[in-house]
Amino acid sequence: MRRYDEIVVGAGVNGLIAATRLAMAGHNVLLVDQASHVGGRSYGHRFHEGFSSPGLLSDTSGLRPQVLHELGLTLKRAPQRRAPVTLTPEGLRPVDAEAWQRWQRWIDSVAPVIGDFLDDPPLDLLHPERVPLRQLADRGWELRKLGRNKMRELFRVPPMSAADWLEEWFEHPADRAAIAAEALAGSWLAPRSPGGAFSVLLQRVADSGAILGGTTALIDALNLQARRAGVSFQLDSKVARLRIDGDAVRGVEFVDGESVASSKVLSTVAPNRTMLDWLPVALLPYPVRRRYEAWRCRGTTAQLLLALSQPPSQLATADGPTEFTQTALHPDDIERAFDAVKYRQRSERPVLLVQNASASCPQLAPAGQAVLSVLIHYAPHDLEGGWTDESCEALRDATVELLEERLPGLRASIVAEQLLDPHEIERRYGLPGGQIHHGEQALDQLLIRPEPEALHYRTVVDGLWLGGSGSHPGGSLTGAPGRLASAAMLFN
Amino acid sequence: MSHPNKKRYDAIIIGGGHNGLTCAAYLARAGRSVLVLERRHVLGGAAVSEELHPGFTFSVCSYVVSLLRPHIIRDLNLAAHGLSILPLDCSFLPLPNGDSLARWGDAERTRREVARFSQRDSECLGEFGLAMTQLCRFAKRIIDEPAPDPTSLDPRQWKQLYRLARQLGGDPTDLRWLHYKLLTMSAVDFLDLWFESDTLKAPMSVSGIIGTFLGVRSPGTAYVLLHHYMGEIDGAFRAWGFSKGGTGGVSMAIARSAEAFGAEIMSSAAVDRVLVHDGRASGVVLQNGDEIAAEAVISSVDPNRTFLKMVGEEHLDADFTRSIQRYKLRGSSGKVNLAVDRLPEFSCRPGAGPHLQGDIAIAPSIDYLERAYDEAKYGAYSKRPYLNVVIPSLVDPSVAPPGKHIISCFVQYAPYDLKEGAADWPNQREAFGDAVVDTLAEYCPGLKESILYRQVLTPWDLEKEFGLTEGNIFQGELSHEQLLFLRPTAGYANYRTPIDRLWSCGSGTHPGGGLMGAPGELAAKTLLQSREL
Repeated sequence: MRRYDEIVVGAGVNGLIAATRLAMAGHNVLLVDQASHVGGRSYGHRFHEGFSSPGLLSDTSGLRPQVLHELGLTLKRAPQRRAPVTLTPEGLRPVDAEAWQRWQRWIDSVAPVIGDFLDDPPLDLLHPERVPLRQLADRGWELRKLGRNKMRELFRVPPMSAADWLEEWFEHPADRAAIAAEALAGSWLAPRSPGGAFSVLLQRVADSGAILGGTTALIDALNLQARRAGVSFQLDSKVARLRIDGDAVRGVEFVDGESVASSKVLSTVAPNRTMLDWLPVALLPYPVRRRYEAWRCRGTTAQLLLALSQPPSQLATADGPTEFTQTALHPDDIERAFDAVKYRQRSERPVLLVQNASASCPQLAPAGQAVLSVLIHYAPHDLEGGWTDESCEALRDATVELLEERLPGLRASIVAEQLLDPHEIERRYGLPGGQIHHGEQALDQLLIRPEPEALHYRTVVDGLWLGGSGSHPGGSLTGAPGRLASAAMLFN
Repeated sequence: MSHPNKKRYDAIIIGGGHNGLTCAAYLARAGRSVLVLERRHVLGGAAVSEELHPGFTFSVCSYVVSLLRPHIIRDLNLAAHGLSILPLDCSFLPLPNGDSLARWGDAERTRREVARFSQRDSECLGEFGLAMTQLCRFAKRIIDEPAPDPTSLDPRQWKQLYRLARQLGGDPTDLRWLHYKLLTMSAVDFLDLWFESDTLKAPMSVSGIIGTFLGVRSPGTAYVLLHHYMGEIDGAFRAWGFSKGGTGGVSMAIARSAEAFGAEIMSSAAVDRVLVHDGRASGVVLQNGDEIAAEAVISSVDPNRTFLKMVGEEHLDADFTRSIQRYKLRGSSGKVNLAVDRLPEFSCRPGAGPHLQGDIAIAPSIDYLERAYDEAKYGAYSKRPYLNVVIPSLVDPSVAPPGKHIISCFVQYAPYDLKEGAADWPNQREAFGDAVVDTLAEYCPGLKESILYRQVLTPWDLEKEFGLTEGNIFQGELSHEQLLFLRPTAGYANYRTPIDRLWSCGSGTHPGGGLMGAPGELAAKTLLQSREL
């Protein structure tokens, strides 16, 4: 039987980063994935001859700078952060520049502390007696340096709703909608939901500028670096269960029956899938098992990929084509769209996050043509009646109708398309519930993620580690969990 | 009414609600000279009994006694001053399909009822109750002490925080995880950790949204579930119940106690503003122009009214004013009080049984509750609202003539900010009342014919009549960003205000709203400890 120091399951961004770091430290690492390609949710599949998706998670602006630095990736980033843009019936509306600058200054001022949340091993808030005094002092000092007012704001803001917090900074409802739509995408939160402000804050602090070349460039660079570091790859290999030796995990077993041994396994796959599907029932004590059973993964996203004969003219501006826009004109548009999900319906008037993907990544489409990736919110995974052909068609029609309203002429330019409903998203990317972040992002699943005894990436099961989006600090495209998990494994 | 003597008091308390009266009683008990000024003709604020219809004594706003602190009952001898709390031992849920669920103080009886809906849930009830009781221990310390400020460098605050951390540190990991979940989850999600039946979860979850502008699926609503269990650990004194004579009975007992300790109380004495000179309060001015001097002024009125109306922006710095302006008040509830000529008959469980002697919830499903919330979000009252109904006359015959009854309906949602504007409430008041009666009548045929008198209180009415800005019954939403050391705003959660000698003691301070008396008591104790009086 083949034997490695570590097996990393899931070759998405987190898996690639973790495997590379372990290999760079001289370990013998095997990186496995059920797909025939690497990249996970950021891999862009070809959906029509000549046209490729940018991936499901295709906004690279949150990728932690430390990842690029520590892995020695030579990628360039856009010089500026992207201010959200609303696609109104009258055309593009960027957020109010003056309000944006003012807010950005505040964001920048608290970024050192929120940055710690993203880049440092998490603080074990539930076991303050275990927190090393040094870590507590460092983080406390960072917080204190902000001054008392900012400290108080950092207690006040996170539990707020996105709507309430943004109302303190932005007068125009479309501006508030644009910021909220991006931050709450894929969650089970609406603008009025408490705790949404924390998601907004995290996203804005994490924004370090888009990577030039988009997800394609990122995945290619990660892939190359992993190979250079000596990571072994095994694709087209779906894990059936973890290999158990006594009470410990010592490798994986694939669905085709093959087994591979290792001292440790790092799973970057959703935590409930790892702990509940891949382990024998008796191995987890009941209280721990219950936490994974309670892990909420209600997916609310569908994706419509459009191959266009030409890029929409309305998205072209004097400064170049706009890549990311959204369609909500008021936070209540998002709120109403979300209401439907509570009753297991799809939004009659969805909120669309529209990415003009080929604008930043020309190889996604033939010359002169375009790829539009539309993330549709909210489309509940547990739709009443299920995602039948009829319901998929109704969703698609509602989406295209709204797009045509904002981008007249779009419909006529559609060459081909593909709709990924929440079940398709679940199947294609291995996401329980079709939840794009491996677990809902809300305060109750973000501060201690996924559960107190896996907070520092090591689980209660000897040899098993978690380090994907379902771990600290969460699921957007940051690379932070993979980075921190592998660091924790090396430190051990 | 003109003030006869030019006496200078140690403390003037603005507002004769239960917190103002509690504060007055504690200060008078400590030997201070105290004057309470109440705008209305009756004392009690929102904890008030009024004979709105001959022979019928209504608990006009607040209708059950929840969490009145046992040590306050003892310290102020409230039992001797007439406080009598009658048991509230049942939560009854009638269902549209003719079935019903009653949950009792008796655990075994409840288990049998719940088992009809879900065997599994009936078996989890015990475990749930145990977990909640454990979670209560920590919460109880929070509400009985001033809130510590983690941004403070004051060693006393850190000592208090350390003690709280120590208590948490004694708990096993799983209980700590539950604390975290309780504070951050929605009521429904938290209940999902134990229960499967919608019929059980709906009425249980609804306590999480009382007085909020949130739904049962909104994050942050789970922690209020503790309320129900807090009473059980308060010991011998029953913390949940009906006050004999209506909830005004609580306020009157406190008022009598305060007077017995030497406090003076005046009703029909509306305060117009606080006298402020050079950042220091020196007394108040009544609406009739009279000035009364005091060493300290304590406001039990909500922060918005206190600072923006009675003090005035000119005496406050811009940052503080802004923080009070963004203090969320958004009232979401209303009240419909009925006098009826016979006991209502619930078709799903007919007869005058013990199931009518507690509270009755119209909350048939979680979806029903969420739809009620959805309507309010966009500026309309719920056409099919959540109702919490009590028939106090069944338990306390003194409040109605024999054979006749009072039906008190607490209603959500009724948003202060209607899409037509809050000032449109008088136009919508009767239709809102009709929606409430129509909803209840679906479960009690014959109700409408039995109504002798009806009072409808909308958030607009709560504001105009009871001084609750935007009709928020807790003087401010109980959302995390304005609780504990942030209530009403950072730096002023310890009953002090930016104005020297002006203090706060109402529900707009820690620990918040409900009939606890805790804000009034903690404010008095903090003021006494400060030695400024």
